[in-house]
Amino acid sequence: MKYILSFLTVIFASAAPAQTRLPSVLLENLAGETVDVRSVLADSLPVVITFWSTACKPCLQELDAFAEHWEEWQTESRFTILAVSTDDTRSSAKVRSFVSANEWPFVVLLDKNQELKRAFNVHAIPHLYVVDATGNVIYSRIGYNPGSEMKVLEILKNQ
Amino acid sequence: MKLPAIVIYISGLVLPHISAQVRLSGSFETNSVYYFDDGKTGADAPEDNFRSNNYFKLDSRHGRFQAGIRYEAYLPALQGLPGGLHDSGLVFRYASFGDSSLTVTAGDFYEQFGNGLILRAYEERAIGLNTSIDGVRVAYSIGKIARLKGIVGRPREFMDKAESVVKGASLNIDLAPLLGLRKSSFSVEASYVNRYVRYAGQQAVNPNVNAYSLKGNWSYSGVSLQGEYAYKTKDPGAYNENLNKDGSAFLAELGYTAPGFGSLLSVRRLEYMQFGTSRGIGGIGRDLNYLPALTRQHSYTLANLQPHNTMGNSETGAQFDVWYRIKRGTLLGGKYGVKLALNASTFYSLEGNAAYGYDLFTVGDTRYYQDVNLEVEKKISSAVTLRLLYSDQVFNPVVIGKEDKQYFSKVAVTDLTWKTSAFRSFRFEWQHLWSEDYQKNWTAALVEYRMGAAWGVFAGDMYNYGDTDIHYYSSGCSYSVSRTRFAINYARNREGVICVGGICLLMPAYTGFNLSVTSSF
Repeated sequence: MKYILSFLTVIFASAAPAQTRLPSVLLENLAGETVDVRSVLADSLPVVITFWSTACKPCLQELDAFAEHWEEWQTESRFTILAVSTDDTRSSAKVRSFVSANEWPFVVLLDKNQELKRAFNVHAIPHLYVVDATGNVIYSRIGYNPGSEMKVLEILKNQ
Repeated sequence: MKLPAIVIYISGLVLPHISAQVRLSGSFETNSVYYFDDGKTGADAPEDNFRSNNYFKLDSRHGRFQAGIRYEAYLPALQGLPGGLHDSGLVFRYASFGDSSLTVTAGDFYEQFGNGLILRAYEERAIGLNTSIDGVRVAYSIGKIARLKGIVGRPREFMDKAESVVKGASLNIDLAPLLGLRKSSFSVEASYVNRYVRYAGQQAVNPNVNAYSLKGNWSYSGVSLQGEYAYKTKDPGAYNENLNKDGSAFLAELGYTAPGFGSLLSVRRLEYMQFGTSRGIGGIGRDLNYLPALTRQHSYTLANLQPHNTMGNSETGAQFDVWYRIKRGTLLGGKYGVKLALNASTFYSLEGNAAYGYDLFTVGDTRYYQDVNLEVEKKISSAVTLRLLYSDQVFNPVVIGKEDKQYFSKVAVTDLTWKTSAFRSFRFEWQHLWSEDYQKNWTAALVEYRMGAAWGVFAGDMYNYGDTDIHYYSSGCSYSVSRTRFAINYARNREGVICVGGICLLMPAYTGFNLSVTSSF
């Protein structure tokens, strides 16, 4: 056990300065087409990536908050929101209808077998990342408390 | 100096220097419980009172190359999880090369073909499920038109490998551009899986089980249609009473959307589709395919007391969803609009019996599950949001291996969020379950206070006043900073089925402190 703990210490210490980037992972969009996640960077805009599911109440609260502020925020800072649904095939077919009913103006991709979730090491949702226009992660947060979307706007304004 | 120490110290010298070129990322998670005996629920604490699940994952990436490991330590595993999770070890390691068209992985990997009817290798830590495959995976894309995947390897079975070797291939073709369809999408996916388990006995057992599936996906404007048919050759085993019969599955999902409106109808039929990672043994952590319950996933505890568990060898049923948003500024919508969600599902056995076979189109007499759920969400003011849920449920305990009966229940939930300032909010939740069956009536309440982006505290009680007169109290707090979250709570938990992703596990009653830490870098 002591060797393992030592190894972990070494790994954490050496990884501290590491910079996380948006990985290249193929996911399905709501039309059923396969797309590379990095295609959201095509517009050279910062991207807010949030992992959610149709059964996660705080996730839906967070996305509703973004939708409510969307038009107003776009006048202050241009950015894209990528909402990554972690619904597996139990409920992934619902996502298209669910998003349409909520009229969310976001890019929505389906991570049916947790590939992007694993690549980002996401274990609890909602989990939000802000990625700059070149693909570097500059902010992340686990969970959602009402009002914390304002912190995201603050970060985006400084981009 | 022992070899492990030498490796660690050399790593310490080398890693900081190479990390400039090699991107390291990873995560750590611990979920530990200190148990107490509880005479009220009959919960027994283990001898040393302590159980702990721990996971450490490290990935490194350098250009097109990637490698990683995962270490898991069960010290020992939390109560109720499969007994095969014990001790510790490097249970996942891989190296891969990938460019825009080709990805080759050697070592452990996850995979899913189609909807998972014949293959899904994945992880759900909450119920101790991890069916990664140790072998080789190759994926090749031909432009944006086609994607071919091939796998061979041995599935993980808890801390070991299953006795099988699994081979498979899947081809997904996007037909829309080939057919010149500009306004619609149309794709098909054909998959094949072979499970080989050596057999040295005297009976006529085929060591190979083959499974095939064909999936189609079409959408045009607001209409979408998805269907998959799967077929599995004879696979006699404990999970199907050693019947030498072929299996089949059919899944169809029809959706319609318009601005502010969405609907989906799902229909599924399963016949002998349990498919274990080893011969004849299925269940949590031992299934090669994925047959989730196609029912609503409830997030409120009383609505989730008796969830459906798929009967993979004989089940047919359907689920229907409608979501509608009443626009803001209308008479009913008011200033902020109103969200409505209706969900209904029903699942039955197949008509017929194992000896004579099942009828393709007739529904059997045994009702496994049925529910109707109506949810209303209304933002009353800029500070207050109200959610109401009504759920009418019929549950048959035969789906969790108990007697064939019908438990009827009705559940009502009121959930109110009150934002007291820019970064502070309360959430009040009240639930009630009415039933004449099993443990009869329940009520539950919860108060949650959230501060800033980081802190949350809660206290709640779930009380069975219809039969046992037991309070299931809970309280705790959580703190999040960047990519790390700490949560601690003290709770009395009832014995019952917990379902994650539609896969269910019967958990024993327990009372204790729970500490959970997740962190990624």
